[in-house]
Amino acid sequence: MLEFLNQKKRERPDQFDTAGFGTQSVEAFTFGENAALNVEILIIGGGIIGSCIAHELCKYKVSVGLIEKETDLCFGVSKANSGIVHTGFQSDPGALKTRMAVRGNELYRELAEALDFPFLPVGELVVAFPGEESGLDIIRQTGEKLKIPGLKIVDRKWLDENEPNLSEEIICALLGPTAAVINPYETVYALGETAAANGVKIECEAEVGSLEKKGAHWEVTTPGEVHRAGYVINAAGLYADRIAAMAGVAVPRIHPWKGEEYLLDKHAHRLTGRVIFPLPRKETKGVLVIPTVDGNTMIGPTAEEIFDPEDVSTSGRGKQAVIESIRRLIPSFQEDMIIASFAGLRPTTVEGDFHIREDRQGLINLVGIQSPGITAAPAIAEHVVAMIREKKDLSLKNSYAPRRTSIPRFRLLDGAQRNSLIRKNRDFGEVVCRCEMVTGAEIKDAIRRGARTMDGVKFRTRSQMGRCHGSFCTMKIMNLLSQELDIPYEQITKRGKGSELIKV
Amino acid sequence: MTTHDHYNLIIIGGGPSGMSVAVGAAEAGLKRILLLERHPRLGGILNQCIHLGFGLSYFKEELTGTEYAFRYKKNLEETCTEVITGSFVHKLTPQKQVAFVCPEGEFVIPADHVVLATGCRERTREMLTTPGTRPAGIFTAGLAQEMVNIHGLLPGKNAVIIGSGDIGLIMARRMTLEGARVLAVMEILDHLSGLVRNKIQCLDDFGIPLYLRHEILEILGKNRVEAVRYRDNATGEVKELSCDTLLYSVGLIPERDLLIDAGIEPGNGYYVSGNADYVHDLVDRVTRDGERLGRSLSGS
Amino acid sequence: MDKQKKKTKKIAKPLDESRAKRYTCIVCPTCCELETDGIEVNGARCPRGERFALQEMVMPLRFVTTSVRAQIPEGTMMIPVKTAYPVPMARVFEIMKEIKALRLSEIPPIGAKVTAGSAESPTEWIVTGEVE
Repeated sequence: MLEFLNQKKRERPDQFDTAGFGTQSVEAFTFGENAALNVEILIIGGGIIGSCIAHELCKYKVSVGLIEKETDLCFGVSKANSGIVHTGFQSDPGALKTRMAVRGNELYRELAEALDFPFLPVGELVVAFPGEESGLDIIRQTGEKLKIPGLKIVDRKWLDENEPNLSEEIICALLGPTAAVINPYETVYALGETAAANGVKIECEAEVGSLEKKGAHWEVTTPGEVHRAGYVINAAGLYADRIAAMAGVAVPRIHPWKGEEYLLDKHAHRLTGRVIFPLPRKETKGVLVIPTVDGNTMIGPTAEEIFDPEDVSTSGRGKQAVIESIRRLIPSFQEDMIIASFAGLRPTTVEGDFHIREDRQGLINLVGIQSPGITAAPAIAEHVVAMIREKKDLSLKNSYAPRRTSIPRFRLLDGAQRNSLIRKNRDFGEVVCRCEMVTGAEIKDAIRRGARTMDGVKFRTRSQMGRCHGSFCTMKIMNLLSQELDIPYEQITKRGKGSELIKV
Repeated sequence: MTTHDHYNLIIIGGGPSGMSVAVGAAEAGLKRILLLERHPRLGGILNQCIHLGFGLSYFKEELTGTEYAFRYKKNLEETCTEVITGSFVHKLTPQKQVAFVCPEGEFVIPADHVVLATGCRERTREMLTTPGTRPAGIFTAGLAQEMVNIHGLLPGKNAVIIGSGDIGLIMARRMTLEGARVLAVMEILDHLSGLVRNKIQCLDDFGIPLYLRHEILEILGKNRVEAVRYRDNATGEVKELSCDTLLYSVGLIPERDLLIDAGIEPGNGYYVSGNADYVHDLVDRVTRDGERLGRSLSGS
Repeated sequence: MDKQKKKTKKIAKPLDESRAKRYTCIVCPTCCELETDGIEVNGARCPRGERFALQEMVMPLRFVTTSVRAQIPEGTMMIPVKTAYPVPMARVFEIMKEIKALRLSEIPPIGAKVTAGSAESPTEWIVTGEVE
């Protein structure tokens, strides 16, 4: 992966020169000082779906706002996700979500290029054990019907040569070369920053209290504010059914399914080069092996129905289930390779398909956007904007600035590039997070772009994500947050109010 | 940045081990010695060890960690060692080149000998994969020590310490003195991990209970730690204890990642010293081992 | 050292059983198991251990280490300190309260004395580290 990104940098040598010096105008979100919004379109929810829609809409001459109940974007469903851009062949070919996933996969490449977030086209393999060949063939046929490019059944010999860690019992596999991996948070922040830079007003810590139609407008209340909008787009993830209910609309109910994921040490290298799927069963795609954009391997997720939409705890049971499933795929897997674990929730509905409808005039609900939601997100945004355009004239702006540069990833640069950065800004010469080699300049850049919390810094920079889990850099990052935001240590939180690191 | 473009010896890490290797090597007659330390000052983890218990063997006097570092730094200052603080070594090559980054830039410097004196890191909650939520209020004991001793910040008011390692015991006393309540130290094994004297002067002196054969089962709390669920493995009884802070003191891991990343085994001019080699119980021994290693190195 | 160790270990002195108490020595990491009746001490491998046991029986004494706040124009710094002498265990929290109330206006050098507490019963502390 390192090589891949370096290569990309070499092709675009201008990239690291312009990035992250405050020369570009990436507008931070309006944290803390929320004001009443009076916009034509108001998006509820700052996850991948809301951010994609905000980004799509910022290309048009229309006023747009986005409100998010958490302290930062990407703090809900989207943050704890496998980060796979699927090919699309694993879902029911007639479903809306399948169409969206196939189209989303096509859109990601260009989006990643324009908004400069990591996108690694690793490909995927659905593997078959003896007796499962026919199942594999069914998926291949589905994929071909959906016109997914490059599908191919590969044999044992191919697997030996290309994926030597896979179990010898696997007899063949379906290769989907268009599958890729992204990092969900970097993607959401890239979308959010671009949307903000193009006029979208983003407000965090703005949990919706009520949603009501008042004449031709919708009135949306959040703590201390009353917002007005012509259109409301409900992309509230796990809470989308509750938001719809506030407007008196019945939508499919959300039954959260929890998935636990386990991250492996970089020393374990890549267990596999591609995303590995067992042959899917009814409820889930099963436990996967996922090479991440950052060079780790992730294994998971589990699938467990739960009732509390805030229950993101991990369990001994989940860990055991993941380990057992992985051993079946990769017998050489060692439990002590695990360096971190987390759980995420999928906003699942009984219907199973995405619900994307204008259920009342001017209220578009996006309910049940579970897997492959990340894959589908850019296509969903396109689809939602098309729905609005059927009713409302939207014309493209001339001023839309489609380019964004990411926070420089110091660890991925070569010596000459690093020296060039350090010459311009000495903070690049100060390594704050030693496990992931993140510099003070990157952390300050993350704060300038809107990080207000330890997790906000972590998700934007990878600091605290390595093998020491922040033991060595927590205080340094707290210092930087305190300095840059001019707040005392006691106000620094992990992820928003109530999660202060220092308990007063 | 550096005086020479080639060194007899480059030492990575300016804690007690790295300093002692430099002192030993200077005694052996090495002239070009470079010591790279990533913090702004020498001393390593000793700088946050404000408690007593150091130096009885080496200095024949009981010192705090900070005093030990100060005294030993004097020895280092008498040598010809060049020190670059604020420099972060990120890569080694089989040709014994050391690449480091500092505010002056990135440098790659070759040496005859390279010593890793990089200390160790603490095992964390994630490494134990303790089930439960991920709220604020979970720290390694060493991080809590840095917060309290260097920054004057008390991370919580009601703490449970997981594991009975020395840093955890020391922090039980430190938190108590600073006004927190330490509700218990929980150890999964049937015996104490740290030194007995630390149990006496850090737990017994303050009436802090040590629960042996107790296993943490789950961390509870959404935004901040609210409680731990644990099991007494002697009786099988499962209980909950309300608290706002968890300190993990469950072992140390020698830091040899620079060698592992480069695919280099120690030997052929690469050496590992101090806690990066194995976890020592006394700094005095780290110093003696380091000096011995330094003296064994040849060069001119 | 070795000779002494053998000598003190071998000869167990007769103790007044009714008053005998057991302690684990905390003077050094050896952690000798001590037994004393207030007059004789068994189990100590050095004279410091013997003194420790006798003292522990009458009035336990401890060194206290902590850090004290210095407010200088650049901000607040924590200065590591230890008590200049061991203090009665029973007074530890009181002594902590005194040192925590203290604010230094400059950074003292290592080894400098700092006085906290009331004029009638002050406690002397010694600076144990350099702060940069």
